[in-house]
Amino acid sequence: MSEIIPIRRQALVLRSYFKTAEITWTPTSLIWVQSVTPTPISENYTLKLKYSYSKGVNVYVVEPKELKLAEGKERLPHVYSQKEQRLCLYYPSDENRERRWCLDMYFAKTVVPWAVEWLEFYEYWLGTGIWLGGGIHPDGEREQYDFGKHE
Amino acid sequence: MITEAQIKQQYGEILQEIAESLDLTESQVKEAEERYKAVGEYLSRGNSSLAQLNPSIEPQGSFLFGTMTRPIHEEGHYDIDLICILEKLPVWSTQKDLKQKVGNELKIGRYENMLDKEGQRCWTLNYAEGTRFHMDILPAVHDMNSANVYEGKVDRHLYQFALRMTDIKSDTYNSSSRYDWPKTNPKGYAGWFKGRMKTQFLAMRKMIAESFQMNIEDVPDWRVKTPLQRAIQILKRHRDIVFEEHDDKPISIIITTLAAKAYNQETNVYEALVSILNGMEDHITYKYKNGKMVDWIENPVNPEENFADKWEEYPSRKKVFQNWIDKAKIEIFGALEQRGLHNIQKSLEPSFGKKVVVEAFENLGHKSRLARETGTKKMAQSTGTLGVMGRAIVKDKDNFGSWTDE
Repeated sequence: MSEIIPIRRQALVLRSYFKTAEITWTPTSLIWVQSVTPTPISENYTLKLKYSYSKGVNVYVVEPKELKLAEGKERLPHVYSQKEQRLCLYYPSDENRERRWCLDMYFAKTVVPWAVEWLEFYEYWLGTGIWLGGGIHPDGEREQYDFGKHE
Repeated sequence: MITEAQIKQQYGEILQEIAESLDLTESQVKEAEERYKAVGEYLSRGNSSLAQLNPSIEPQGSFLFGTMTRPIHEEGHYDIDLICILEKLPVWSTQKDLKQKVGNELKIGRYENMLDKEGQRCWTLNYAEGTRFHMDILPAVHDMNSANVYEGKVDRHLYQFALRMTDIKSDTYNSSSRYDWPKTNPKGYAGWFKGRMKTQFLAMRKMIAESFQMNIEDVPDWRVKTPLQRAIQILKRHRDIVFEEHDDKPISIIITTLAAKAYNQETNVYEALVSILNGMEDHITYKYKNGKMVDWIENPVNPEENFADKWEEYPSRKKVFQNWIDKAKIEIFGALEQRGLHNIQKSLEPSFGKKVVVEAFENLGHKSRLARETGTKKMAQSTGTLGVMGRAIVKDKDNFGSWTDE
């Protein structure tokens, strides 16, 4: 594995992408809050990224709360927690580290674009009832799956 | 920052996708071609009563212009307009002879059970449930007098295709004086129409040839659809939804002609539609006819023909046409002005039909996923907006977890 990115660097890079973002950090944790517009004609959403050494990285939609559901659906697609609006952004497998976030990757280049993209596909889902973003649908998994913990 | 250009680009992509959802499928296009070619071969086969008259079948109308749209109802049929030219129809023949010769050959044999009752101008073949094609066959002959009729009024490269046709209601239906027969020139009109979008047509054809690694000449016309053709499909669909079979329904040839005149070689369907919806009415002219002022939408390949001739008899139709243009502007542009892909989608559904719009948005979603998978999707700074331009590439990965019932 290549070098772990220090949190301060993560914060600096996030700030270079999002000049108005609210970013707070300690050497072992980080919180980033930012309003985004996933496509030029999309609605605005506020995302919150929370990283801690012990819990890994999580991204939440904090605004709007609650997110609307597509017609006839009772749950949001691809979330770990509907209540928290905590997004599932990648498959937490050890096999293909190129397709997930690891400690040597910038949030601004992985988790953040994926969260924005989640919002884009969320809008398509609201309209069509279909998740068009691709992904893995595990059977029998339960909510509150923890992933991205420091390994 | 999100720019006006980005927004227009995305509007264009949505309308483009809706128009694509209105297209006939590739297999339908090929099947239609095979079917009408088969009619042509049948009519000219050795023991056909028309064999000596050198019959040929050619498409005309929206199938030829590339502006056909799916019917609004699932069980609806596809009207494909054809011309049957009898090159060697004897000079003493009347319009009626021409009509009956074609009809008689269709009445017996292969097409016997598909032939509909005689129409005012055409013979109609109804194909079985599966294809749901209705082929309207208009009997016609070449206009050997076209230079005298059109020289100085219409370009030679357009009037050279001029025809004379049959029409039961014409005063000269029983006359063999061919130069009094009704005029038509579908191939000339198609040439004019293509000329109105030439720049874009050639550019897009070249692009398609490059992406499929084909010779430009080998790209079939029907594969190329300019923003003009797309905008016309969108307008025709909106009209079909608004009017269904109402008598005052604006006719396709008026929409096509005015749209082609208002089009300014825009490269984006949205911008083409803006030009067209704002410009169409400027191309309705007024003319004094027998001392009376009438609305005039000239057939570009026959200055004597007014496509709006019925407006004289039914004056409400002009108002209906103008109201429809206003309604299309309010509904289409109004829908696009909303924010949120789902809100835009839901607002467009009543204008074009739910199935078509849902299909279009599903396709947009698929394409967006494909963009991520091929590494062409990027995220812009400040707003995080995704698109072809941006700072960070959206890396490919797999979304995980789903507790939903999908």
